[in-house]
Amino acid sequence: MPFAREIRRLLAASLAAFALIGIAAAYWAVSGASTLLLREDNPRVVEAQRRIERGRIFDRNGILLADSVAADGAFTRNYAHPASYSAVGYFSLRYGSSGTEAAFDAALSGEREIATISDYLRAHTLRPPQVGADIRLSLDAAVQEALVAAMGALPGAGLVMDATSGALLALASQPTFNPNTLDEDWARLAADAGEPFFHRALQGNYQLGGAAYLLLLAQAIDSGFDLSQQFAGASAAVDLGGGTTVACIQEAPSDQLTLPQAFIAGCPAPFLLYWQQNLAGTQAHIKAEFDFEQPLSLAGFPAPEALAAPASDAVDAGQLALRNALGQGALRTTPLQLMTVLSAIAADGSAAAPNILAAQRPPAAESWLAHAPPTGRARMFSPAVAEALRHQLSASWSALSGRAAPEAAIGATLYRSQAGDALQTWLLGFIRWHDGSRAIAFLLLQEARVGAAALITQSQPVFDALLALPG
Amino acid sequence: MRVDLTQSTAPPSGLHSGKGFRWALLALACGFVLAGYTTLALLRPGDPALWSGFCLWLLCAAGGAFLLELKLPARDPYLYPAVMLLSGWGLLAIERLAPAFAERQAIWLVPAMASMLLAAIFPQALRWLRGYRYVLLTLALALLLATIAVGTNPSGFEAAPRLWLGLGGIYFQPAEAMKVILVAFFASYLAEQSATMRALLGKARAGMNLSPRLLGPILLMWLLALLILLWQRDLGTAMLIFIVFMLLLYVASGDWRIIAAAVMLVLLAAFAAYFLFDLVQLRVDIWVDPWADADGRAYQIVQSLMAFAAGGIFGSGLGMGAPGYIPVAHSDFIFAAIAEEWGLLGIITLVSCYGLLAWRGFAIALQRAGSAFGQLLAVGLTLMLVAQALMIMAGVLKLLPLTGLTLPFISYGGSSLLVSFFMVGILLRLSASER
Repeated sequence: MPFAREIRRLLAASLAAFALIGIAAAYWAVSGASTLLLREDNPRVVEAQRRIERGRIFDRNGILLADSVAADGAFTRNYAHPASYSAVGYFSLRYGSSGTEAAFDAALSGEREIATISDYLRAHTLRPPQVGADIRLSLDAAVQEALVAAMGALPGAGLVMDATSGALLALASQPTFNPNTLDEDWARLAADAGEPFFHRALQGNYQLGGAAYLLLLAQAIDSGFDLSQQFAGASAAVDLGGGTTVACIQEAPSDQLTLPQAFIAGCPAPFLLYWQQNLAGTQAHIKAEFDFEQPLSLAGFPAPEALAAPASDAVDAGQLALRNALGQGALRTTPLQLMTVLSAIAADGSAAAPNILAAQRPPAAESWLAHAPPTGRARMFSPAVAEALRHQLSASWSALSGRAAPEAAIGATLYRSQAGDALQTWLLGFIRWHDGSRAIAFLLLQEARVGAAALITQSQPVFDALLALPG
Repeated sequence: MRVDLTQSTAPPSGLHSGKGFRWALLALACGFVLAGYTTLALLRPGDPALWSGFCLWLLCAAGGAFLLELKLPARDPYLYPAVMLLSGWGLLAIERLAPAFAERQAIWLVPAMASMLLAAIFPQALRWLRGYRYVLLTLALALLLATIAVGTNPSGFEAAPRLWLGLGGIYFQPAEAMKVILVAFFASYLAEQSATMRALLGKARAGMNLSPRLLGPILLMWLLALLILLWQRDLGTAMLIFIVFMLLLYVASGDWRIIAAAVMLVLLAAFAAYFLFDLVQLRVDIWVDPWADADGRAYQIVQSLMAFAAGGIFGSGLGMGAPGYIPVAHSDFIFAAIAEEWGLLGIITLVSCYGLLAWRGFAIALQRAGSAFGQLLAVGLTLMLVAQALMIMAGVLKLLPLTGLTLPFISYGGSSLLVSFFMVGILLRLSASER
């Protein structure tokens, strides 16, 4: 038969070429797929995300904070509670996600775990619509609104935490953004000198400031120091060098004050004298117990900025030591870290790890699955020291507000911190029900010099909202 | 163990050559296409017009089958169902990707089917192809040259190659007709020369130089391909014609050195074209590294590869993928669009259909032992379809630089559809005449 050999060879070559095509297709469809599907310039990634019905976000009482709205086979995110914007964060097809949206993205987007062949076949053949789980946060919308209102327009941060469980009842950072118009506002927000994407409550890195007085007072109580001892020159301002001076927050009742009296008035001089008498122990005590150099972060949320020491403005070693003692030196903290210290005081000396997720509800499920909070508590004070500090804070609150707490013990202190030109005013407070069934800690930070009376007035609605919480 | 696929080409009787078997295969193809159209109809409930394409296709498929059963019952049983499946699949994919083009493609199916039936039913077609080969070749070359003077491009882009002739809104690509006429011409020429060639090559192996009588046609074809390339910047067609001719020459002469020479000449031409033509340079550059300009010049090929990745093994499902991100997906890159929605399994099915086409085409050539012209014609036509499919599929998969060819029976393109069906008609005729 003429040409038979050549024709058979061509047939074999053709079939081999088709086999090669099949192998190449298999490579791109299977082996090389993961790399291609993860490329940022793959428009199918965005296309797929548009089709995901992300779960809803609720506060602890079922108030809607965010949901997904369907339009033309795709979903857009809707944020329903303006006061919670900075806590909920954003989800954008163009700019990714942040805050709670980022922390619980796997649950909200309904990521499916493929553990068995059956899972794989179901995911790749039926390709069921991806629907995310609903989540319920520990936030309380009413408290959140009161906190945001208290913060006003000034840059700052606010935190409210259930001291017994570590659950965050409110979490706010100012300035913030409107996640509903994020894509339109992005360029303006990114260029904003106020850094609205920077979450001050979780990522902020501040001087310890007058919080050092609280810790020095705790050390004094713990060491059995005679709290009735009076310090002369107590109302004097302290020169920390480099043009920095710290003075009493409020007018001192006298020039001779005990440590508790100095704490109420926010006077630094007695604490400096105390520190000079107990130098080594005090410094070690603050660092070891409160771990300010390695501040914790909320799981899934951005880590705090590195706690670098502020640039020294040409002070000598002695002045630097003074600064460290009064919380104006190298020791820095984040609001969340300080919140845990405060919650330890509000509770019985130990702090629960902060958490924000209360429960999840899988797609199409009726009931919520409670989220187990992190176990274990960090012991920071003995119960006796914690109780003594609460008494001091209550006395301070009464002095500051001129009010007495009816059904719960309320305490608060107010102080400032300063690094270079940056100055912050802080309010640390707590509420503890008399039977000990509940304790709540509250922190308000304003990146400005705010008067004591004004800050107390501003924060009063938060205390009121906390007192109105169901038991 | 050596398996000879060609031995099962002509079962004399039984299920595999019976009428029922042929209808069953066609019914399978119809079922597949119907399922696809039903899915599309569910996705586009307010668009009953999409069924018009399916109805036309079904009418062509059934009408063609009836006529073939009537006039050509002894034909190859696999070819017709295979090409109907491919054309139906193509129509479905175009309906999914670019509904505006689906209607035109469906209308082109009618003359395509007519051309196939003419070639299959009337034996004169074969005789004319052989007897009037010089007239046909001259006519085809004249049409090809006419594109230089009055050629156009249906896309309307100024920079696009003007490979079409247009009249009253209907566009035809003479290069497509050139394919079948050239194959017939080569087959006819080589059938007459093959005995001489084999004798000359025998002497050449014994130490004599290759005769100009052997080398002449090769160089002539190489030059012709280069001329087409130069004038029309139609790299794909030029390369396709050259490859098919070289392989036909190999079959006629029986000397593998022809293939070696062809490879060298292709490389030489490609090397020269790289420096002479921006288009060739672009295609080679994006073939070597598409990722360097993934959002720019290589966007099409990068999106094509992403479509394969997105489809995975099972595909995203008809209407559920995003093949719209591939520019002009209904034409050159329809293979990638199918990969996204039908997945690797769909691609394997599609490639198997082309494999089946190759198998049956070469098997028909083997059956035609009594006629060198028939054998070479069957080989040439099969090669033309198979090589075209391989070149575009390899381009889409980044195995070769892109060539701008269409995927036979699948891609949008009336001229390509018409000529491809005509080639199948001749193959059906050849398959039946021996029996």
